[in-house]
Amino acid sequence: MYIRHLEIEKVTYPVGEISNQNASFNYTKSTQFIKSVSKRAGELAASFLAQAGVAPDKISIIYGVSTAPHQTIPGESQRMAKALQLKIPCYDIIAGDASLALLLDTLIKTDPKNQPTLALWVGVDAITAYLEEREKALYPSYISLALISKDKDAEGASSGDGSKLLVKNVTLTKAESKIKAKSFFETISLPEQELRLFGASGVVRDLSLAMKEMSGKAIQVRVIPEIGNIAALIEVEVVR
Amino acid sequence: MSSDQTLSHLQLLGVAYAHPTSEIDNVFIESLDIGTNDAWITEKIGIKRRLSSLPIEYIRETKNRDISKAATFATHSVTDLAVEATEKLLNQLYIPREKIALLVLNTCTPALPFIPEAERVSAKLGLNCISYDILTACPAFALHLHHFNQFRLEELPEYILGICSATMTQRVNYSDRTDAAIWSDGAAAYLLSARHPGKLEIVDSSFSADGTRCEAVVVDASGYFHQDGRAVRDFSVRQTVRMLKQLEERYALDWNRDVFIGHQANATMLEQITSNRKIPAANHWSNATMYGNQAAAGAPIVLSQNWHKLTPGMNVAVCVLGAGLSWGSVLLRAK
Repeated sequence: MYIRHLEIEKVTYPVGEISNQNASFNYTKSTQFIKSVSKRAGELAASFLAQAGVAPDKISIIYGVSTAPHQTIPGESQRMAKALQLKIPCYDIIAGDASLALLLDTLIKTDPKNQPTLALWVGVDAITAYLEEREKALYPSYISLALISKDKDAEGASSGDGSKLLVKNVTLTKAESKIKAKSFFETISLPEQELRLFGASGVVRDLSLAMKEMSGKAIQVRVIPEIGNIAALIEVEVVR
Repeated sequence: MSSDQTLSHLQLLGVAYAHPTSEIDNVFIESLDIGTNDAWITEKIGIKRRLSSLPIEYIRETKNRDISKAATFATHSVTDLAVEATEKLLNQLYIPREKIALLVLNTCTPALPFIPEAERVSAKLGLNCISYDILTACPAFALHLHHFNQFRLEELPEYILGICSATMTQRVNYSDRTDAAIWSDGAAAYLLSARHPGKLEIVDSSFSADGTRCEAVVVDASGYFHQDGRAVRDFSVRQTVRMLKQLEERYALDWNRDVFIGHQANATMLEQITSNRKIPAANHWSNATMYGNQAAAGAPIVLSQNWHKLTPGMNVAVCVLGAGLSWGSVLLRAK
């Protein structure tokens, strides 16, 4: 499998509406697509695909993940399909921080005749809605995107200098998640000095850096989960 | 058979289920004084009874107006139902839980944010395996089977546990007559293997979606379920008929031998479908009338309730669909 293009964006503005001022939960999550972080993800995907030189209709499947969704239905992948106006298979595979690693492992193990030609993966880690106000600045929400193909020469330019990541191996192991939620109606306070980048986005950040700065190198990215019970080791090589 | 050998088809070894115990019949819904009655509900959706995780007195007194309190008063969480169904399944099949190498789950009503919900179920069951959610709401049973049917079968672990669990009644506004009569709660657990022969093998599977219509069905993480009922119903009938026609043509299905299980959204919709495809009542397995819409758990629960009727050579066509909008089918063959 090849990761041909990656994108990550920090969402610093609140996605929701101020309400319930007297409680610690001081805004409600927006449930309208037009106001949601999913809408922003769609806008980002449009520019991401244009930059990669890929027409949306070349995508054969969309996989999505959100560790802290504003709506549990529809899935993040399905909202992305709406944003891109696509009628193609789309569903969410949700494994917390290891979600992208899990998808890569899945695609590697998929029968070659069933492997998608070009898959779009979207991660929306809209965690700010569940955090105490003082921590929103420290732990922002992220949108991350990846284009994954089974063919080295598939349509879709690689980022910037033409590099792409050859996914050589993914190893998944059982782990323990560290973050425990209380309810959909209460925020939580995170331990000091913990990770500041939650969900699947952390892997995207690391892989993006590798793609830009480590051409020709073999790299291992280790996922130690804060959310989810899967630890992962992703082995990639930056190729051109 | 040695567990090292891979079979030619993915196998479904068994299905078990769990329901909560609060019964909501049409007389009760009529008593809520929300502008509906038994005759109207029966005519429109053909549902007579539902099972809820909310106590009946709680619904009567509050109509679930403050949705943030529903989980507090509920007798079962989505996790509880998933655990109960799984324990029944493992006991039925005599499979020790340490043999489960993978758990996948679908729910549109997770107990808490920071999903995957599968992880909470796994922890409560004491499983030592990786677990994650594969989510698409009501067609999830077909999606789960299709997802693993796409693999090189030798790559799959020895046993895969799949679960569909939902507590939709906790997301229902019982002041609204349209949604109050539809939903039930329930969970189905099923065991897949590519190394151990089961009573059913997966002959065919499919899954697709039309994300452009994704807002036709919405479940807010901290709010009520809402849908464009008429549009979803029309889509459901048309798409199910389409899936059935494809399976009929591809596998020469004989509705005097083979069986159809649809999405248990409502009984009148299913009647439209079976009438279109000329499927006799005896070969249409359904429980929507007495169990309501159990979301993704509905179809596998029906399969479990009729497991004893499976005879060698029988094909079971499961065609399910819902939010997304998404749809999936699976053709199972009894051995």
